[in-house]
Amino acid sequence: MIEITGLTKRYGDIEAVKGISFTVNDGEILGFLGPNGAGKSTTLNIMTGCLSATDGSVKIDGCDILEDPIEAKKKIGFLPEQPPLYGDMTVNEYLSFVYELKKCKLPKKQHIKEICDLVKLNDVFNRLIRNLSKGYRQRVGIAQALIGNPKAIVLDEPTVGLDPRQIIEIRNLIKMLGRDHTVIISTHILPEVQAVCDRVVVINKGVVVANEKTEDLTLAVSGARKLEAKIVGPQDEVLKELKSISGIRNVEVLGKLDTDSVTYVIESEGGVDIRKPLFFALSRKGWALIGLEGAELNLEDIFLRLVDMENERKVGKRTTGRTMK
Amino acid sequence: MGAIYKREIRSYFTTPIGYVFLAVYLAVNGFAFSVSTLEAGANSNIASYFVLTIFILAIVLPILTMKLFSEERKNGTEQGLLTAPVSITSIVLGKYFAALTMFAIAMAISSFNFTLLFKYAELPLYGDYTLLDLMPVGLIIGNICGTFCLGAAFIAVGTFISAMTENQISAVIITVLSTCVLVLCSFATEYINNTFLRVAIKWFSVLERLSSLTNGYLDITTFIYFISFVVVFLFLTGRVYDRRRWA
Repeated sequence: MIEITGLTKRYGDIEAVKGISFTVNDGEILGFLGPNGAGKSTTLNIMTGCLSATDGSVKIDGCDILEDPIEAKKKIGFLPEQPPLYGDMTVNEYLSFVYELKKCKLPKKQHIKEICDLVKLNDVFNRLIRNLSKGYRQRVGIAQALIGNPKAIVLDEPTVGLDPRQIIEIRNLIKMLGRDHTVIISTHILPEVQAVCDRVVVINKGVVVANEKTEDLTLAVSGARKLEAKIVGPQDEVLKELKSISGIRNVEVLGKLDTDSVTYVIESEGGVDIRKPLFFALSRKGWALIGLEGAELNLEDIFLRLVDMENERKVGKRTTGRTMK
Repeated sequence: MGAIYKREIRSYFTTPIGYVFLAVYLAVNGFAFSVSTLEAGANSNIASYFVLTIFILAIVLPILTMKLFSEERKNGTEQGLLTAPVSITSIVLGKYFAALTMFAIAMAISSFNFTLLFKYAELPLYGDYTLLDLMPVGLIIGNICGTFCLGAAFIAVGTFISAMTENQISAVIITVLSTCVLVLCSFATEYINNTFLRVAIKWFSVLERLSSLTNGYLDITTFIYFISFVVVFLFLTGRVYDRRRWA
């Protein structure tokens, strides 16, 4: 459905996007994950025709966004990071404006009503956009992207600034959209990707560092799990004991949270569940394990892990290359 | 283009800009008309009114154009237009014609001023004249056409400048300066010794081109000049807008 090949964008000397390539299949919900400044918005803006690429191509359902922009843009609906809303219009007027702007051929009233039903805008249909809450504005932004029933919907950070209830509602809405459309959502929130996406493209410093199915990425990066253990016992001895347990890769002291216990961050090797050996090792020594919880991998951890994996892969290739010679 | 045109026209009336423009233009224009014709006595002629109108246009029209592109850029609504299946030419034309329509509305209203001339003009004591015979109708029509052409040109300049800035205040100030330069460069030619420069400025000068219309001749070359002027500035506006996508 969407084919991106060797996309590059330079701002003066700075290369924001460095020759990235990936494809999005029909009916897929793709998460476009990356930290702030990774090049996500630039890529999406190029993909939707808002920016021009320095090099490379974007094809939407076979139409090149540079060579045939009008046809390509008909096939894609875009919600930018800041929804392009006119505060002096009501929701109804705004959606009618977008309908005319996109030269939509579907029956106007019925089409707008269907979209409003889908994104739940009926309560605010005749209200001025400037008076709407952030959540409703985001919905209006999604509604405008849906006008014309485009095959692909691109949503740039659709849940930023929303409260938890609104975030859940928008995520459910994205899942619903995925039934009839190809959806790309850009985000820097990992659980969001895990909640709604079929596949993830991870971008860092303008380069794609991972392009995996969501469950594969989660497995790949969480192969080495982190646990936070609160243990009562002499710190040095506990550290020594923990490091001796097989399957533990690294142990760090997070801090002494109260007078008795110390919290340790224990990192296990890929695929190894160290909870049982940890419990037995501590009980043998008579040290109390008063808390054990999984430390969530944050996005930085994932990037570090992915970059490490990428480097390892490169080194591996080089070594293999030399061996073969 | 139609959707953008309608949205712009609507926004002139849902924000104070349209009302401010109409109020300021009609008030200043009415005052100029009153001073230059009605209060100037029997020796008055409408030429002085149209000269004043030129200066009014140079200062008041930028109110119409200041927000055309700069506001879209500032509010982030530009992305909505750029990602819609419309060409940049349609965006530029939609906005330009909306501003031109507002100006046409203001001109249509201010044209009612001329009806006062019929009321206050005095018939000579001798001869079988009607008021219509005495009124310089051709001159009035020529001057109205000239004023409209000049306004259209100034709006094109304002549209171009609005596309280059993000701040409406900057847009209005730069446009006023530009339109004033366009008006004043005609007067400056008298002080320029270099023949080539003088001829070049005269050729580009909008006021020089207006002279045939203001004398009552509906000269086709004048219309072509103004249409070309507008086309060039709208083309540049499109280029500026497109260029930003490549920056």
